Amino acid sequence: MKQETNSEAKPIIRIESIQKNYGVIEALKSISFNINQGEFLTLLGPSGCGKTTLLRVIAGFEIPNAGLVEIDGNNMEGIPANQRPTNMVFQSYAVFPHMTVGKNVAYGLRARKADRQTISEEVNKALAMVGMEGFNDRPSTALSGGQRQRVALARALILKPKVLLLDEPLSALDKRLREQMQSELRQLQRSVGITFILVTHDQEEALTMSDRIAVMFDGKIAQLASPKELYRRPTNIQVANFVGTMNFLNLDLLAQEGGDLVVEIEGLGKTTLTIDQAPLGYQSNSMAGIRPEMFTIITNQGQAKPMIAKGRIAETQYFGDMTYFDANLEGTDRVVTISMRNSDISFDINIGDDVEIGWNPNSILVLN
Amino acid sequence: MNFSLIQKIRGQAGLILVSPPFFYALLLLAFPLMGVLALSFWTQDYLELNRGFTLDNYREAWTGAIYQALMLRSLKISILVTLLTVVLAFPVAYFISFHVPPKKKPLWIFLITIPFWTSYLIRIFLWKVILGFNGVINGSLIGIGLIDEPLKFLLFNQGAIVVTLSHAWIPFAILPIYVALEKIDRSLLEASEDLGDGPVRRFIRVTLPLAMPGIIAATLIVFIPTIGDYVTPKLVGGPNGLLIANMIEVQFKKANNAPLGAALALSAMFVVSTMAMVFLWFNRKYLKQGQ
Repeated sequence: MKQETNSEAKPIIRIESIQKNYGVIEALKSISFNINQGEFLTLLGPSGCGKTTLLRVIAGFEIPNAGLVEIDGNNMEGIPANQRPTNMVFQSYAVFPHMTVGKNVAYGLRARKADRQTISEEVNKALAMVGMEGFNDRPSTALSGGQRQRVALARALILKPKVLLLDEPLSALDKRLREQMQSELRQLQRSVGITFILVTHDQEEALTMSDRIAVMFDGKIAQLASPKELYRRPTNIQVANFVGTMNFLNLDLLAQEGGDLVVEIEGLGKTTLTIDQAPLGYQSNSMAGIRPEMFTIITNQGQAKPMIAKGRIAETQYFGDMTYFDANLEGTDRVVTISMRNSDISFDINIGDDVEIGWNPNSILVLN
Repeated sequence: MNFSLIQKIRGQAGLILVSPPFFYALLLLAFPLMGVLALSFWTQDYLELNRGFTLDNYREAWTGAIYQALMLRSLKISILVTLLTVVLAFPVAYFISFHVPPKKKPLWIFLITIPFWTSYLIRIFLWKVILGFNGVINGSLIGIGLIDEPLKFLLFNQGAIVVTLSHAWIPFAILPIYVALEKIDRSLLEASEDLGDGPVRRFIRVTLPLAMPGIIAATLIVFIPTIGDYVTPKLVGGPNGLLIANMIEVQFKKANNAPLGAALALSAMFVVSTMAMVFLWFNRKYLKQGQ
């Protein structure tokens, strides 16, 4: 929320009440937000949430039914995609198969009728930027997925757009390459200083790369916040569920004392939460949310004990550095997920073991 | 059963599958062609075939003024038909591929094949009815008072051949172009637009080069058979509309000179193959240039 109200950052894109319908289907339901100059913004959401449609509205490939898109102070209404100061990296990369790498990268400069000398220099610079020097004469059909991705990037960045739009650019790559490209993209964005808007359904990707994330569900933005804020303080159950893992427990309000809520949490017992932990207040359908890493299995008797709940281990998943435990909370049929760093576990924990689960009231969120 | 044996059986299954068409082609294409080739080196001696080797038939086929004229006319008409057909087919294919909703595409393709439901001969006769002296066009034009006398230049000339053949071949040209256009990844067109090209430049730089395989296929599919067509020129071509294929027919039948007919047929084949090759070569150069 802090960044949103930052008055120093100048919005490069202003989106106001954008609506897009396909027949009776409302793909975008009156979306409004600003994107700051030089920002790496991610549109995150499940498929069909409208994130790609929104990106295509910004690019000029879709014409909204209502609303305003302003890029760098200019209203984009009636301006076709080829005249907008945006460039796009497509999900399929859309590298022209009938052209060499060099001709692909030069495509936009040729469309602008730049002279030969400039084109050749700029193409070399752009290829160097994405680590593909000397690939000019390669046929583009002979490239790997990662290389194609780089060509698509170079082809878009060579035009020095005000905003670069990326439509799930990493989804077709294997895990290792994807992680490498994530950090390369981030570095590239910092070095060129261009505003990036990335569309993805991968929350991990969104968390690691973005300055801000707009989580979208059902044609609306559910939350727009920095990755930290989004993870620590999701505003509702849907967002909390989509970004990271969250345990949800039933919640009863016992009393409201000033700003504080006295609550009874299923399996954890009675505790007091500050109003801060209930961003949208308590409602009858509210649930208590707690991240798996906010639980600890007490393995060392000398360890400082916060609150303690009892449970029985139902399942373990070992990840090398971490272990995920599913534990059945005593007196309930609720199973919670607990994640522990293996270096913090001093004895073996096996399925069927009765354990003490430590938790801290601070780490509880009241979500609707 | 070990692995190599399975491989062997699979390999043989492949052979078994291709062998019927292979023998069919051998029996009905390669052997007769070799027969024609042999025939072209012999001479007709009244009712007998003289099987002595000679190149006289080829000499006559390539130097005889009438044969040269017919060959050139055939080429000219084939090229005109091909050009007209491909130029007319492209917009239709483009429309179906880009503007017809996906669900309705099969219906459109089906509609395009409807002319094939009637025999080729009937279609040619229909053109006679349309273009004829007392035909549909003349009748209509006289009826609305635009002309007093029927127009005579409509039928029985080379133009009539071009119109009739183009109409006959257009579905064959639409289909390969349509397939090539369908294969174009639509995001490539968006990428072109995104990188600054308007619709016309986008068409020239992306759509057309990527549709080329279809255009080539259409060109060859139309060009190669039209040069051998002899029914259409006979029915709508009139006295000045006879082509090389008609001459080949005459040599085999009325003139009773099968060896010369064979030499003419093989010469025509040679010319068509050469032209197709040159066309492919030019096209490859064009596509290279785009790179």
